[in-house]
Amino acid sequence: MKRTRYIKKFLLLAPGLILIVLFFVIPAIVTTIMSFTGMDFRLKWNFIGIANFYNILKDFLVPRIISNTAIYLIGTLAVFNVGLSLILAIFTTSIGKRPGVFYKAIFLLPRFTPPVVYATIWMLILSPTKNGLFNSILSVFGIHPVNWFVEYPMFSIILINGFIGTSLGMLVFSSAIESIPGDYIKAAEVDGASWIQTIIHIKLPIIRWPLLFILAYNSLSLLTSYEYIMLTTDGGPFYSSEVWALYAYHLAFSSGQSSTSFRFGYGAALSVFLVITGIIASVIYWRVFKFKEMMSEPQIEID
Amino acid sequence: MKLRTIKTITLITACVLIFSFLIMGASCEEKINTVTLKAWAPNGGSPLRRENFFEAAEILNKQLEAAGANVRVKVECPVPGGWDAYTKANLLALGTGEPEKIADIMIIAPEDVGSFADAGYIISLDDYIAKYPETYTDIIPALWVPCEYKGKKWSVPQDTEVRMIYYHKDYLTKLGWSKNEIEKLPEKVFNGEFTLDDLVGLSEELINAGIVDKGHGFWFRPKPGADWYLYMLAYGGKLVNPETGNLFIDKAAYLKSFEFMKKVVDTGITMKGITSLDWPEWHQTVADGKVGFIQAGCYHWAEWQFRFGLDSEYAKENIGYFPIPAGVKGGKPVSVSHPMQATITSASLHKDLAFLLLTIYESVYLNSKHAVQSGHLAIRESQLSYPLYAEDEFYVKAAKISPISTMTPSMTGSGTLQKTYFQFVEGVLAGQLTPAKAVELFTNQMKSQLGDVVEVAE
Repeated sequence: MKRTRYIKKFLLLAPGLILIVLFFVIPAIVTTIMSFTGMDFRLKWNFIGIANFYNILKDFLVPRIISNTAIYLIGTLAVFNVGLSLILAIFTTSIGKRPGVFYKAIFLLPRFTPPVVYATIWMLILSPTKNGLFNSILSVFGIHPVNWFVEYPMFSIILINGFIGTSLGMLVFSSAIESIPGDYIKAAEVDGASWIQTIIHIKLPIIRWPLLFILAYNSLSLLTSYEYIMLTTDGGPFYSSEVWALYAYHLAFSSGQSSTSFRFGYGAALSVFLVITGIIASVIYWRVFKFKEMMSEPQIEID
Repeated sequence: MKLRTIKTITLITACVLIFSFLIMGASCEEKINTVTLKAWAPNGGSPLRRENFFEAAEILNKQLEAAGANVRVKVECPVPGGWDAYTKANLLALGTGEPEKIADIMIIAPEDVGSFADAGYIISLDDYIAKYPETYTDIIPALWVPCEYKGKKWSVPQDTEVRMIYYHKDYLTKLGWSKNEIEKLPEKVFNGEFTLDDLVGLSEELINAGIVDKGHGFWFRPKPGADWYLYMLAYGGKLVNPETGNLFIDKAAYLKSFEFMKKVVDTGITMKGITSLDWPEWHQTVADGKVGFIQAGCYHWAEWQFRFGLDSEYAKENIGYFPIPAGVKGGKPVSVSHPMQATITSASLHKDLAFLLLTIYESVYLNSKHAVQSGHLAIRESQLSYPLYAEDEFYVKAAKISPISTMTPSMTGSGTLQKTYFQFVEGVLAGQLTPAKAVELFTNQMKSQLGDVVEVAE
């Protein structure tokens, strides 16, 4: 009887487990093994010990790339994925259902747009010529064109990535806010609470779990994301918007016309740091943010 | 009865004979052996680089049939993706070592020739080339440079091009230049009388006269490429040490090239961060006539006219071109080429036939078709007078720059050098690195990544 229960549990979990093993565990193991090799365009597993890791420590670009990654992660999370998402969620749940849905739909557009198209639109918006959208607006006020990607590379990539992440947080937060029993708000209003006070003292404490989830999910996601940076600044100029994942990609997978400048071993060693950082962050989120508690029972009362 | 027997025997004999003839005929049919040759070519803006293999196979099959040979060729040539996808597909196939997965003919970048030869991926072609003198003695001599490595030829040039500077003749007229002065400008560049400093000065004049906007006096290409070597070469630098055959970094020439890049940004003739423009916007701005001097490839000439609306008549009348001027008075102008290379892989099971197909692919007719369609230049002397090629004056004139063009080196590390150099160029253009800092960091980076493969002259 007990055995049958275990088998049932296993069968239930099996599809997910298989996916995790196939697409995370095995690639992580292969990447780790590859990080101890000097694999280049010949794809030979020539083991060189910890030379790649030693070279990472010596790489003069690494401090810059760590700092870029931290700014990108914290900036995108704070300003867009949590900050703007929360503001939009509060705004769209306060203005009535129809206008709320309309505004949500607008902010979902970046999600629906294919990455290459989305990046191209931003290239036109932030173009350094006077034809760029931002520069056209500035020219109305007599301000000379700004080269956004050069003068403000981190601002540019945070802006471009931010609008993609905003939609997820906005949907999760607005759903959470809408599921708060109306009695709570009404009772507070009867007691004289202002709109701001209902947000600070009722809505925010109640949606703290979704907030933590978005924070954890997006931080892990941003740590390994680079596609929009690659399509716009490509990490430049001179590594000023190069984040860790993009640096690993450039070394391991980007060659231009030459087939022989690939450095798979070194790129794998850089990726190992991402895997380790991801695992440590997951453990921290699990223990410090008490995710177990969050998942154990419904945290938002539904009437 | 006897007659009947004779009739029966005759009938049986006739049937046997007919049957035998049928079998013999069928077996003759079966003797035609079809060999599948895999030819892999990147697109890179030129569909004929790939499609010409099919036409070459048709021509070869006709020749084989006429010669009574019992072999026919079928070509497999997959549609390539972008450069990254193409190079990765090649490497993954080569890594297996299995002939059925590896191409027989592979078009690669010149900087990969040495590395592929060292890895044993491609074969030396000296003996094969010697078999077809009527095709290969005609190749423009400078184009053999990237084919050669360690004293052998490992590839044949598939195409070539030159990098040059385009200018608007009508803009110079507006500055008060006479027609004679304008027409003589390329000559002054060839003689070393017109230098990079003069180019900066003239670009400033165009801006000051309001003919072009600030930042639009002189434009580089916006992305990585062999073009960035031009300025180092203009200041007397070299890519290869001719004595040792190793990659070479002359720090003084690289420093001057970085200083030139700082100068064009500081004077405002080039917009800061030109490298952050994407190709379509760059092309459109150039084709709209908003830039005074443009450093680009000869292959952009056709692209601006057919894709970006540059009026052909206007272009013919008003746009001139010359190589990149020397860095100092009396110096030599320069250009660079990145000619794609056709190779035969070691894994090929049909090397002779593959090379025969390649030789037809290299013919004047097919190569001229590719050149004219994609804006590339002649690889053979005879192409210069071949009607299909010669009917467009631009290609004949642009080919005159070929002899002074430096070829992208073929030795190991060449790709890494080119890729890394661009990062530092970008840093200087964006004002994030001083020229002195850039040259130091670049040299250290190259020494650490390439080791003994590169020589550095202080």
